[in-house]
This record gives sequence, C-alpha cells and structure tokens, in this order.
Amino acid sequence: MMEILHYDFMRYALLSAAILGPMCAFLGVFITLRGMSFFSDAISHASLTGIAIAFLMQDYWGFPQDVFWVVFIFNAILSLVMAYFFQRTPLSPDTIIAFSFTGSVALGVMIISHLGKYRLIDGLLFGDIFSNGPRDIFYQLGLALVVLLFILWNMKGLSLMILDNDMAKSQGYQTERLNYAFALLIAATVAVAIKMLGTLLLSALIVIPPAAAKMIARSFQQMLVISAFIGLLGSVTGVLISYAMDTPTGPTIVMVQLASLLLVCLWRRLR
Amino acid sequence: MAALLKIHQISAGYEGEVAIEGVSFDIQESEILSLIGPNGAGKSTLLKVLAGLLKPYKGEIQGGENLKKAYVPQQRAWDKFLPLTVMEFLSIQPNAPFWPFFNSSAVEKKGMRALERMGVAALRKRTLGQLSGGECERVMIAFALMSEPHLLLLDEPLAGVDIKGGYDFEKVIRDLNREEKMSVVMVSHDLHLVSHLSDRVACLKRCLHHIGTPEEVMKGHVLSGIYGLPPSSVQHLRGLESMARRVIP
Repeated sequence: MMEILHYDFMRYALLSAAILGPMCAFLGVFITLRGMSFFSDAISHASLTGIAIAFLMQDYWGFPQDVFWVVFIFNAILSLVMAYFFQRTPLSPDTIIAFSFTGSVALGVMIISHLGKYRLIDGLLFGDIFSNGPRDIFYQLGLALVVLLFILWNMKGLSLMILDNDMAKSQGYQTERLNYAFALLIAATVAVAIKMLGTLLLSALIVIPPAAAKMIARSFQQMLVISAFIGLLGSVTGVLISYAMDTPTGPTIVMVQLASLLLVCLWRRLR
Repeated sequence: MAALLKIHQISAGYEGEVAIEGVSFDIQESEILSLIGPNGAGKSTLLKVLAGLLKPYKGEIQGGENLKKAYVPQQRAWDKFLPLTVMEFLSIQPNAPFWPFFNSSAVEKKGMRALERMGVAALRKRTLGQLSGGECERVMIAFALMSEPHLLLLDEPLAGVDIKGGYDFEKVIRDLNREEKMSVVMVSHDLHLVSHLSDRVACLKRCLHHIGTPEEVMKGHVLSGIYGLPPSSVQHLRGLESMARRVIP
C-alpha cells in the first residue's frame, strides 16, 4: 500500500483530501444548521458557468491559465446577489436559489457547447482530484486557514444566528455583514474544492459529515469535532479505495461518506 | 418613577409598509408594561423598534444610550435536533472571552447563576430541542439575564406554555422586577396574565389606543373595541376586569 505514496499525483490527491475533507465538513456544520445546504449546492452547480466563462476568456484572450480566480469571482458575485435577494426581497430562499442556479447552469452549458468543450464536462461534473498540483494545494491550504480563522473568530455570532437572527442582532452581532461574509466564504470554498468532487457532487462533502455528526453528537462542540473527523476519514479513505479498486474518485468519496452516515445511523439505533 | 425610555411619534414597518404609526409613550423605571392588541396590530414591530432591531421610518426614542436591553424573540423555529446544550447556548455572549468558545469557567459560573435564578439549573446539559415550552422560555430569559439588562423585552413569552409554566414564568418576572428593579416590556395575547402581572397595559392597533393601569385598560368595552368583538362579548370580557391586579402570592 505504501507504494502509492511514490506517485506525486497520489500524494497531492491524499493531501488535498486531508485538507478539503475536514474543512468542508467543519464549514458544513454551520451551512447545514443554518439551512443553507441548498445554497451551497446551488453555488457548486453554478460554478460550471464560472469555469465556462474562464474557458471563454482563454479562448478569446489567452488568459487566465488558472480558472480558480474566475470561478471564485463568479461564485462570489452570485452568492452576494442571492444573499441580497434573501435579505431584501419577499421571495422565499428556495425560489431565489432555484432560478439563480438553473439560470447559471443553463448559461454555463451554452458557453461550453459554443466552445465545443463538451468532452470536459465529465471532469467538471464529477471532479478530478488526481489533477491537483502544488499550486492547488497552496490554494487549498490558504483557504482552510481562512475558513478556520473566520469560523473561530465569528463562532459566537454564527452559533447564535443558527438559532435566531434577531437575537444575534440584539446582542450586537453584525448579522447582515456576517451573512455576506459567510456567503463569500462558501463561494471561495466551492471554487477551491470543485476540483476534488466536481460541481455535481461537492455538496456531499459539505452536507453528509455534519448530518452524520448530528446523529450522535451530544453537544455543539462534539458535532464540530465529529463532523471534521468524518470529513477527513471519508475523503482520505475514498481516495485510497478509488486507487485500490480503480473506481472514479469523486463518486467513491461520496459513497464512503454515505456509508459513514449509514453506519452512524445503525450505531445510533443499536446504542 | 423616572422614564427609562421616551418613545416619541414612532412610525415603523417592513418593506415600506406601515405597521405602527405615531406611537408615543414612556417606559418607566422598574415597571412591567404589557403590549396588547389583535394580530397584526404592530406589537412585535414596536418591540423590535425598542430592541433596536428595526429602524423606525419616523420618530425617535430618547434615553436609550447607555441602557442595556435584552430581547427574547417569539418564534423558536430552530431545529429540534440541534445538539446545542443549554450551557453552550448561555456561553454565546459577545463579551465572553474568545477562548474557550463554550466552556469558559467564568461564563459557566455566571450561566449557572442565571439558570438557578430561573430555577432550571438541572437543565444545563440538556440540548435546546429537549426542552419543553416553559423550560425553553426560562432558559431564554436566563440567556437574556447574562447581559445584565435594565430592560427585558419579551415577545409572546407564554405562546405554547402550559398553566404551570405560565405560573412559574409569572413568578420569575415578578421577582426580577421587584428584586433587580428590572423593567419589562412584554407582548402578550394572554389577557389574564397581562391583567394581573402588568403595572401598565398599552393597547395597540397600528396606533396607540389606550395606555394605563390594568384596571383602566382591561375593561370590556375597551377590549371589545380594540379586538373588534361584538357588543355581546363585553359581558364575557368583564371577567378580566375583576382579575386585574389580583397578584399571586
């Protein structure tokens, strides 16, 4: 088994899984408890358009080489627009999410089809963790640090906002500013993690570990720790199984995460 | 008694719609003031304005500069399976130390005192979803007490609370008011509670229609007018007049 560490692509893939798995799961606790799972799912799907725009720019202007910044800027604009609509219009969040992401995906597919790059769709939808290089790891580490610091610094405000926005506001927390910052953080996380699971599967990494943790945690602190642990274990194990059994990595990671959720359900029943 | 807050000609609402208009009254030091009125009368809107959560379209509130206010919202729409324990909840205080997030001993001590004050210290390890309506209300007030407020703002505190919970709540509010000289502004549909807990009652229906002692306000003809009830209901509402100021021991 140790021979797999001889390959650069494998080392990067494992490192990437070990960074992104717990990070998405940790952030996912706040995303799921605040009822924003569908929001992160939408941003993840809509990233397809960010990537398509980057391809379009490459085709016409020859840059940028790295699609990350285009995807991040696209995701950030979409997140802020959605967050603005949530806070300032009477439309329900699921309606806003539905038209934002279906519109974005439609635009993305039209651009990709126009560019004749349909063959790339597979990797975009399901991820390609083995294409990670040192630059990706650098971005992932940087983002993990930002996510960790942001969550720790705003832990109290974010925790109270899970319960009641007005209560958080009355305690002096800048809830509107925090909402926008949180939406931006989701946008950045999706832009960075898209390579691991693709636009279609990424939300599994954000939603499943917190869901499993919630089943067994007896306190909020336990939920945070268990979620991050399941995120780490599921992602790294998924990469290893995918290598050993020659299965597609993104879907394998999701299946391992799902298996962990089922195991937790079973354990809860037997406990 | 001196005025704690002077509310002057407040108009407020949501998305440009006006929910309350030209409301003026004072909140006195260490008084219990209840806001009553039919659904959609603007009671919760006024409470949010008092809490600083909603900016009024017009008017001003004087005297709130150094006043510590604590707001307890009406709806508990949170996830029943949220694994947040009562003590973790009480630890979410803006002035609590950055680290540790939830288990600072100083905050825990203060939290225990607040829970003991509310008679719910035994619930400290329970998660919020495991609490009954009455327990939850008292934990919410314990949370509010952590910031040592001068003014407690309660929105429908007895919604979904049984008779025993209501009795306990009443006692707790009266104790806080008498012993800590805390002012309380409470929105309620429970006219029985309002009639014997409040020092003053304000009747709201977009505008402020009446404000005075429960004896002055809880009259059949006043209430039937405010709630739009038929004249035949006046007899029924008279029961409340006799309850006004019947203080529990």
